Amino acid sequence: MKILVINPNSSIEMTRSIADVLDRIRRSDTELQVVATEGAPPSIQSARDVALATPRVLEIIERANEEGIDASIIACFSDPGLEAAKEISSALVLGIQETSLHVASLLGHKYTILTPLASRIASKEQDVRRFKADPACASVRALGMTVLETEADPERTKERIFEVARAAMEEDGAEVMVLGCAGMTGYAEDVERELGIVVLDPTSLTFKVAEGLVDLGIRHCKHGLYARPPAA
Amino acid sequence: MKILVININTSEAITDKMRSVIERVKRPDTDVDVICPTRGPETIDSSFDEAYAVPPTLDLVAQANEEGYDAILLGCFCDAGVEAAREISEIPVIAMEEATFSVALTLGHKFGLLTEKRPRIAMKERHVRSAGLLERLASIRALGLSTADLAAQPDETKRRGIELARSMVEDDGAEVIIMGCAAMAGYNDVLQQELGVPVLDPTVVSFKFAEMIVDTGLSHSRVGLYSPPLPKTFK
Repeated sequence: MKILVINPNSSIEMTRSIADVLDRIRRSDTELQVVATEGAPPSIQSARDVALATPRVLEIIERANEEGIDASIIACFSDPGLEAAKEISSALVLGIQETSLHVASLLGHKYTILTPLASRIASKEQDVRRFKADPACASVRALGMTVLETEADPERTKERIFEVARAAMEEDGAEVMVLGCAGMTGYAEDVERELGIVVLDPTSLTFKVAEGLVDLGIRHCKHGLYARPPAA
Repeated sequence: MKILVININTSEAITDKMRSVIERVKRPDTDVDVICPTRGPETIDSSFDEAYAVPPTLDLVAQANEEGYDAILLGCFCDAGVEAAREISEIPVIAMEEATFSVALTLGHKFGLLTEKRPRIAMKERHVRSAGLLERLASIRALGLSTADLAAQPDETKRRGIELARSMVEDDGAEVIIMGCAAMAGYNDVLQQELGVPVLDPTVVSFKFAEMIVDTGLSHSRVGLYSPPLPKTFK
């Protein structure tokens, strides 16, 4: 099977690190392609960034459908362009946020999303409602670091993830943590071991969900919300 | 006061129609410009269309901030791009759908939403849910006519609109009706008389909402959801 993972920003470093992680967990017979999004902002941290990245992501999805693909994954925790991508794609499309929130609700009573910046908490809360994942949401908490800071300072990032996850457990009743940014990749196991809760890395999780759905031949419904856009 | 209305699709005909509605309801001392982007889809019928309509709309929002407007109304009953527009705008940005929902809440317990096409019902429901208003939604019903039929059969459109609105009131518990489809614009007085409940035309309601926002000197909060984007290099 052939799975395309789209990093919706233009950062080559981030794209490479996503590729490294997924290459380690993919099944040997899964063909993996990870691409950056040319012309998109270098990171996605605002609605403006989402708006500007979306048309570029859609172009990649359109091309991938023409070239033949079994599934595409939009690998950014804002799921930029997810609904539009599902409209124009006959192959399966998954967003890492939507997918991980629904899986999180299977694994514990409530989940907490960890996000880099406090200014994005409100936007994440909107996304939680958009994806109908609100009954299981304990809270959205911020590390207080930008995406680039989390990339640059792994020690501090790890420390903050511990602190914030512990507070979410103790104060908000969270049983599952969703690491809501690519910059937090790689810390899930340590936090799980230390705190004894479930920690999800959305990109890896969504990739394995995609492999499973492709195995079963399951795709999104093309009738209704994700119907192909009318020509005029 | 000076208000810019951006019709986010590129249809001059729809922009002209919107302008004539607004010219009728604006206060005499309000200056208004009604424009549309030069790039992007001609109508907004899908998330795909929205994706391409937003970036050119953001350029117009940025420009309006330099040109001395007091407020911007995004004139599409889908509110595409409103969060991004508020991030980059110092002046208030009013969104047609959100402003209409807000007013509907003050007029009755639950509102019913009339839309044009059936495939859009699911998306409308997601908008209501994102706004946190599902508990105040009675139902969403679609005329289910093609754009061509809507234009060719005004009497049939009107008849079906009234029939659907009546069943939202009688069967679904709607106390307020929102005319979320351009094809029914102009019929709200007729509907209001027939049904005896408030019927909102989003263009009218959101424009008057914009005038009110400017009068009160209010604007969107810049500390959380709408805080300015971090400066960064775009390649």
